[in-house]
Amino acid sequence: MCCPGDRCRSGGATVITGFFSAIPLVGEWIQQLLLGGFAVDNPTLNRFFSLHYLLPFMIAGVVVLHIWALHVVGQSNPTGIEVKSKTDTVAFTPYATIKDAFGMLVFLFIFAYFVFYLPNFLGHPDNYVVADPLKTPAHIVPEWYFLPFYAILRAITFNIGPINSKLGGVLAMFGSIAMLFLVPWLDTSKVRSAVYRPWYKLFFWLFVIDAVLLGWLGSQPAEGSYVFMAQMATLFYFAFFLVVLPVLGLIETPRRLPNSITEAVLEKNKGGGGGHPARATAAPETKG
Amino acid sequence: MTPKSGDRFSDKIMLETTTARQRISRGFGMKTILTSLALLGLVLAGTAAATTGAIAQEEAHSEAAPTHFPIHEPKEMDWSFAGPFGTYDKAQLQRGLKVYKEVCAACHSMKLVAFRTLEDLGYSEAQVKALAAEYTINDGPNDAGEMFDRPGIPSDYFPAPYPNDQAAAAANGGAAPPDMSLLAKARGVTRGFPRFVFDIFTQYAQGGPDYIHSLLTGYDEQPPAGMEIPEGTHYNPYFIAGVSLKMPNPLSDDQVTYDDGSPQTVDQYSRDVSAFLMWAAEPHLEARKKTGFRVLVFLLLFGALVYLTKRKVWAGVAH
Ligand code: HEC
Repeated sequence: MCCPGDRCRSGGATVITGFFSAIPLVGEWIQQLLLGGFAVDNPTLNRFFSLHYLLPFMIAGVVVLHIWALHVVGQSNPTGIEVKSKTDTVAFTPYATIKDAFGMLVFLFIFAYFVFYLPNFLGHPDNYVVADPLKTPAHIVPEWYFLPFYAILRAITFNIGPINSKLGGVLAMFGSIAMLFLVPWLDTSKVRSAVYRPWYKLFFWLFVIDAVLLGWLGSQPAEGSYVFMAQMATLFYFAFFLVVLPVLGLIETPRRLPNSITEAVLEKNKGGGGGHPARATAAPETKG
Repeated sequence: MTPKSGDRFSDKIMLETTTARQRISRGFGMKTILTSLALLGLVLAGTAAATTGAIAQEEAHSEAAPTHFPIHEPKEMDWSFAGPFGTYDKAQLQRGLKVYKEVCAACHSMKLVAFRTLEDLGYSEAQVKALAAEYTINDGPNDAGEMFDRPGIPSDYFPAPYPNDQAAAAANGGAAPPDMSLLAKARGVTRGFPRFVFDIFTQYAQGGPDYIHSLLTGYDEQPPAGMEIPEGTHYNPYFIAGVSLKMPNPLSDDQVTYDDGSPQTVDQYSRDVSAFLMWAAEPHLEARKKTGFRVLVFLLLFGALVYLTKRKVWAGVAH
């Protein structure tokens, strides 16, 4: 949701800054501060623009952190088992380099297909209509990656004690993101990889289906049976983090863990008769 | 995806506690998973059935008071600019320009299109100059501080028929005719699941021109008995936002004279003006698709080479 210069986006800017007006006491003041006025106008445009040209640079900064982390703790691996010996690893270059290069090319192919042939596929026709603060579109549909959270926002249609439905929706929406940051403490399992956790695997895929469902619901008008479905999906979303993760880690019986990454790889290759067992890898070390 | 739970637990302890119970739980686990999956499937199917039922009920609502618009989906036409190798048909764009100039321009502006860009339609520089000169452009202020009129030049933009949106709305029963520069991309009827998935592979991106063509040819249809058409509006089952709109049927057969022998029908006019509006909204469509094809071929070849290299590199390592 970028420049509030077109109809859809200016609606979006109104909605986004509207979240803050839900905060008790200071909400209205914060909203006006963000908008630079009482409604979406040029100051808002400037502010959102500054934010959006700044974000890529911040992402570039995070990429630097990522490379630093890669050098300090190494790559993770699908077995979730610590590196035990030299045979568990291979050099970053050429092994990880060439593999990632191929992955990047596959991504670029799909990306280029959309850029050159379907540039408007993920957009909305309203983005080509000039913004008019007096006319907000009937259904504001955010960008596709916001849809699940938008569905959660609109799923809270009831008041909870002193929290009215608007503040409740905003809290639920930000809470759904906050959950991701709490995962290290919510997950009680001693096994790191879902490969060895059949029940967790099931719930993980249910969670994926739930997120896609929420995404679809976010693109539908908030009326009729859609609201109920969104409420159920939101319930499962939070239950996954707050109930499934802590409880399942305690009661689930994981499958047998291999002793090392090497063993895991050799076991996997036994049937298919894979390569030479000289050096097995799933966790290339970072040097190189 | 799974978070690391820290090193405080040694893998060894894990192993000892788990292997013992492993045998028993495996067979049992599989069965429960399958049962729960089946149950879940039932629940999902139930919800889906309930919702489709509800939606069907809504649609069964009386024909005279529809709740979903447009009433009819746009008709999908064959456009020369569709698909990976699509190009504009210049003769068609010239006809479309003629329809715009002689019909639509009376109400609709096209403020973002400059005369000079009309060379894309196959006109020579001199022709564009002559075409621009047909228009009177209000310019200024001059040294005396006054606005003045002068003939148009190629760097001018199409002048608007009304001085402002309010005047346009006042002259058209309260609804300002939208600017046409981007209109072909600013309208599109939602495709819905699963069609939007197929659209990725068929590269369907002609929702705008399909909509405009259907709208312009949709005035013939009669409203169902009992439907209320608000005063001053015109029934059109293809209109995206209601049963009727403020624009009267702008086209009739033989209204615009074509010099190239194309049929002078409403259908042909609509097609031509829709194609022209697509060009106005996306003049670089051909270059985009042409470049895209080269880029994809390059990525395909490069990707294949990198894939083979990767296989070679990893060949000696178990993974
Ligand atoms: C008599 C004036 C008039 C003429 C001539 C006219 N229009 Fe319109 N047009 C309007 C008005 C008014 C609206 C706004 C209708 C509304 O919103 O109710 C409109 C709206 C439209 C829309 C948008 C509908 C929507 O989805 O919002 C399209 C597309 C359109 N006109 C195409 C054309 C084309 C193509 C021509 C030329 C063949 C044309 N019009 C000629 C007055 C006119």
